Amino acid sequence: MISSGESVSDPAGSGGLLAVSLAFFLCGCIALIVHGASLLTLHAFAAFTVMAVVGASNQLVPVLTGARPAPARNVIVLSAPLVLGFIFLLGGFAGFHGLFSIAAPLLFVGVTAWSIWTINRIRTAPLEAQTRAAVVTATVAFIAAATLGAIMALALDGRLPAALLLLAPAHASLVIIAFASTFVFAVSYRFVPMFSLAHTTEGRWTRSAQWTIAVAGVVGALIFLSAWYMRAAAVIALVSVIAAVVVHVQTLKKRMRKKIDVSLRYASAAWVFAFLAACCTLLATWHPDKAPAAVAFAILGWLSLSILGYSYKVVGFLAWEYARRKHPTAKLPALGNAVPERASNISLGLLIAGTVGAALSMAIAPQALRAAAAIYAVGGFGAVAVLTQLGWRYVGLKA
Amino acid sequence: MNEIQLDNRGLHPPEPMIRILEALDNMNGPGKLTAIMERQPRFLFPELETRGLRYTCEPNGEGYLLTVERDA
Repeated sequence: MISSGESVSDPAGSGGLLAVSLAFFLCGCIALIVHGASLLTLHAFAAFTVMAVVGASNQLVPVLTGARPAPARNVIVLSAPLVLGFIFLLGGFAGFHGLFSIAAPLLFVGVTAWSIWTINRIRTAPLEAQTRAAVVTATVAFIAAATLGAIMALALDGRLPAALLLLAPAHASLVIIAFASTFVFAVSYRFVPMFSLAHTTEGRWTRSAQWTIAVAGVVGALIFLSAWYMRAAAVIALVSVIAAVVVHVQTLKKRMRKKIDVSLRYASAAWVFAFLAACCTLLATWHPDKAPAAVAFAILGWLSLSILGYSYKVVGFLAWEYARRKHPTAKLPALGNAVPERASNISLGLLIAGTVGAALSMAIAPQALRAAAAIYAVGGFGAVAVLTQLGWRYVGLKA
Repeated sequence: MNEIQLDNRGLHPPEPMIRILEALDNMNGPGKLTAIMERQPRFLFPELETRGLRYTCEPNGEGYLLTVERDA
């Protein structure tokens, strides 16, 4: 039996947002096939990443920091401008340019409101000073990225000078590295030992990677001053990835659970892609035609695989918790073996092959992109199908 | 009957969960484990159910009191 009352988070809000984020992911997969490496595709995956981070953080922030849990209604109301903003933004990239002018204020207001709300929640939370600081850092980067994004959206609609579109690399650096990667680095430090049942590797420098990756994102955002800033950012990101992987490997050596579970298998592949993305970003500072490959490794590999991987645990857990609250005395299916191993592994293989194929085709053989995109999409749809089945196994339980 | 008491205050996640699961795994025969902690150990609950253990977790002052009972 779990205690009830205000001290318990309601998983419905975060679960709903994760469902929305997965819908954006599927849009991204389809856009990758239909539109290739376009801004529409890129922002569908960005919507997936942002909504997943927003949804996950609403559960993680209280669990980790002791902050007061938020009612599901507040979570949904605060996230609505973000969801609508991304829908209008994707509509703008699909050719309805007038929608950019609606998306820009919606996303800016949505990001700012959610960020202020999140910072205010954790400001006075009693626990996990380093995690709270990392979330605040990521959130501030999120506001900066949204500001640049809103400016560029207005420029795309002709309301501001087109020269402002040169801010795109700075926007990308803030979103991909300073916001999303800092968040994933910070939660991975808790998730890896949690999912593998291992003692945490605590030391003076063990959490330094979450700070250096944030620095990399900010330094990279100064690329409009000189390409050397992005060069420095790529090197810092590379070192950050290596440092984080060393800590995670040390943690995994101490695990109670012998088998590496599906979440950590996805996460392991994601860290490899983070390394490749950093290498490719460095290369792209001399050969700009390699930049799309770096973005492919970062978005399709690093961020998407991290989020999908952790989603197996988070979705299963949220659904399990929902069922437990709904049926307090019922015997629920065991969560430990609820994920279909074979289907999730096949999806992972396809996602890895699709990411490598997409990055290589963007770098050297553009005609192969559609085939790589199709492989990635099959893997993506497979992963979402497994997640849906996993969630429904608990949410759909009858009394 | 084994009785184990753990004070998990001041520990970062997932240390409280690991300490509880290690203590339960090392418990021979029936017993009762109580643990006080600052956070609600939400990821622990499915692990306890998977192991077929009965548990309660209630707010206790500024933290939580977890009680786990093992029949055999």
